[in-house]
Amino acid sequence: MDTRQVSLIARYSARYSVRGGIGLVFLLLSLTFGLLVAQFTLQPLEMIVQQVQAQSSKNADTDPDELTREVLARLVPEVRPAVAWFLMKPQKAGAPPDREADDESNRWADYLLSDRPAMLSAILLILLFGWPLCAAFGAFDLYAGDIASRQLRYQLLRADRASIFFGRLLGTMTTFAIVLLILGVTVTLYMGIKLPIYSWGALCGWAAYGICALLVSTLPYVAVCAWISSAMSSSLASLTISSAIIGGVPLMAMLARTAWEPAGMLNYALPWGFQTRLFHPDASQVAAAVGGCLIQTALFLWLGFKKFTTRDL
Amino acid sequence: MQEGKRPGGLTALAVLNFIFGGFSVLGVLAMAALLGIAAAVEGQDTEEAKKLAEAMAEAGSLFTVALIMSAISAFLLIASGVGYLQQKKFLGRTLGSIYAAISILSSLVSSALLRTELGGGFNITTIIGLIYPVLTLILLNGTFKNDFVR
Repeated sequence: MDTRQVSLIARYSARYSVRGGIGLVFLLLSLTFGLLVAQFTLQPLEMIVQQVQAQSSKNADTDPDELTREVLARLVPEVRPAVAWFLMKPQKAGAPPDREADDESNRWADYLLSDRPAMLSAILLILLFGWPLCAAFGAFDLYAGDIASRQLRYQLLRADRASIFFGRLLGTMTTFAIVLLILGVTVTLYMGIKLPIYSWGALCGWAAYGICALLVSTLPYVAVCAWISSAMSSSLASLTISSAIIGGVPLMAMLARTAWEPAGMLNYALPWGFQTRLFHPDASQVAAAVGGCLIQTALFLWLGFKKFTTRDL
Repeated sequence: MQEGKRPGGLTALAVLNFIFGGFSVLGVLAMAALLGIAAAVEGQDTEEAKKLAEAMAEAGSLFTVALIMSAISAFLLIASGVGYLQQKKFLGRTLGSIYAAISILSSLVSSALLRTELGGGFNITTIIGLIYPVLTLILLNGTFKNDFVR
């Protein structure tokens, strides 16, 4: 593997990803999805504030920011139990309530809703579970299209297989990072200007952390796509299988768990089972989640690399 | 750039233009139908006719402006879509850029001038509405700049 070639291929891949139709569709899809998530989270708050302002003459003179703060202070305790339930480890059916797990999830919910900007936490949590499907759309055609059209043969005259494999992967990850950065900056700016209930420092810090966490959690999904894409000779098959695996793992785990409790562990085949821990208040939990993501990334990349370097291109 | 070698992104942009253009045409037809209904029931003595007349008197001019803007957008989207496919400088790049500029401007103006109840005010929906025109403007004058060879 030649690092200069890897860097060249990565730069070309990131720079010209939108020249291919798939890159353009991914860009539109991911930006629209991210902003829709932000809209669904922020719009109810904005609407409640407007309604409260319109209904009461007393509130007409109140500072809108102060009113937003008041509405949010009333909303957060209402949604806290739901967030705590969402964050809690799955309990065995019929088992007595686990007090320790309960306390942990409550502390975690407090961290996300009280210690950090609550609205941004909500957006990041929803994105964490929707982004992997966007990732499948962005990475399914890493190699499959060119394998199908035999275009890789021309590149192989100048670059080795390892450089092509890792160069394209790096380029795709760079594109993902840029898209996440655009999303993060847009949502942070909007919240900072339109809903100035949080300080810029808190908003920017949490948004930067969230983007990094999303990027880390995306790595294994992209690696899965790279593996499948290198094994397929059709873009459509690669998209179908990648999406089915990424979306199917949590679904299968949920269904299997109802039949046989330990089958719920299937969720850990991809980061679905532990990716929320990237937003845990304990650094050790975050480190474990990052470690899990990196180990899975390495495993899927190894499988993909093995396939790509030995198959007929 | 080889003549006739159209990048996949430009084809995708053309398809998206046709889709959004089609939706705009449907919007124009719906608005025209509403105007037609308003004209037909004008002068009738029913409660619904009076309510419709009141609504049209209040937002009639705004409605007409929206209808005209939608019609222009639909035309520009479809015409520039054809231009992208044929890689034509004026029909593709110029009309596409004009569409994007008009769309961005009308989004900003309507968010600044309209009341929130009428869809005005700057919010995330405004930003979502800006994604496609901004991308179009950037891509036509950057990434695909040299692909319009005819």
